[in-house]
Amino acid sequence: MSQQYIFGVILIMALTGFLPRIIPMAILKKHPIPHWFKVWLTFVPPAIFGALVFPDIFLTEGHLNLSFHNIPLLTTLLITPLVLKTKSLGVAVLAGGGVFALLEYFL
Amino acid sequence: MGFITRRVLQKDAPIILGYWVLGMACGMLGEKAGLNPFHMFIMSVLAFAGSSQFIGIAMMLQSASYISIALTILMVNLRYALFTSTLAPLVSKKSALYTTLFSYGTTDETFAVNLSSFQEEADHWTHEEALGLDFLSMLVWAVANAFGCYASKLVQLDLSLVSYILTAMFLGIWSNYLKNRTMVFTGLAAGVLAVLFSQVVPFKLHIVLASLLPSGLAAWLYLQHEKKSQPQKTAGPEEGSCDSMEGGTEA
Repeated sequence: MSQQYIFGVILIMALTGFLPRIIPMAILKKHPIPHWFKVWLTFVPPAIFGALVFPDIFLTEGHLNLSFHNIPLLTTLLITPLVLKTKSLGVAVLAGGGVFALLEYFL
Repeated sequence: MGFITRRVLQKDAPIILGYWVLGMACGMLGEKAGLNPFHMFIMSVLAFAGSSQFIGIAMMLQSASYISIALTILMVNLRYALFTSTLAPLVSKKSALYTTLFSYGTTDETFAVNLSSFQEEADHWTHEEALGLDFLSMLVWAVANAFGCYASKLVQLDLSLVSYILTAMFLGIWSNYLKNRTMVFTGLAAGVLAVLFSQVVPFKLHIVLASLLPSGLAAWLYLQHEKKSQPQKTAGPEEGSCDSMEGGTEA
């Protein structure tokens, strides 16, 4: 991977991390944020994380995989009740990592 | 006037623990993509955003274009706009330098802790402590990233496990945004669309498109519903309108 590409992506990460954080803070000092925009913002996180999780668990190398050997899918089905109950990032990571490693070992 | 007080350490302890584990995992993934500990440290200080760093690195592994990386990460980071617009009234009297640094240090976790600490009147949580908590968390995150990157050269790590840690992390963050039926439907629709679009949409843009459509539709439906149920509402549109949605009302 070229140094240029690496630093290019780091720069993108810096800008896309900084702008969404600072713009509302800067604007709010003078004007209120439009209501429709705030409403839309509340629906972006459920959508984006759904769009991130589903391809990770349903696709294997780009193809739909609903088989018993799809460990990411099996792990997710097993830990989802616990994650929904605790709503904890830490629990999700520990339970997910643990169950994944066990399934990988046994299947 | 202290930035790092005893209670900052107490309140930051769970974040520090979580960031240490996730930061190590992120650094390890970075090493797989050919990044070194210095890259990881710089990235973590400049971006200071766990999910976007994981996604950025995963997309680098697929040699994705700058534009698709930028759009995808921007969508993922839009929730920070929600956080800083919530925090803004609490720091409105502070200098531009303070508000800039404070919004820059806002993540899912520091937002949650700072907001509840500010809201707890008896706490008298100071602005200095809030900033101290942000930057202590950032330092731990950056060191963990660099260390994970360095350490993954020493241990043979299972890449499929590290990538699943990322999925589990998304699942954990996602669970906090499924507050009512509309949000659940929005999320599931975006998930299904992302799988479908991945087969047809080029440049890894399927995630962005799949989240724009359902979130836009949900917002539109919510606004229509709001207009219908409160036609005479004129004053104070800001008041409670978003809070009531979090309470579980249905569009």
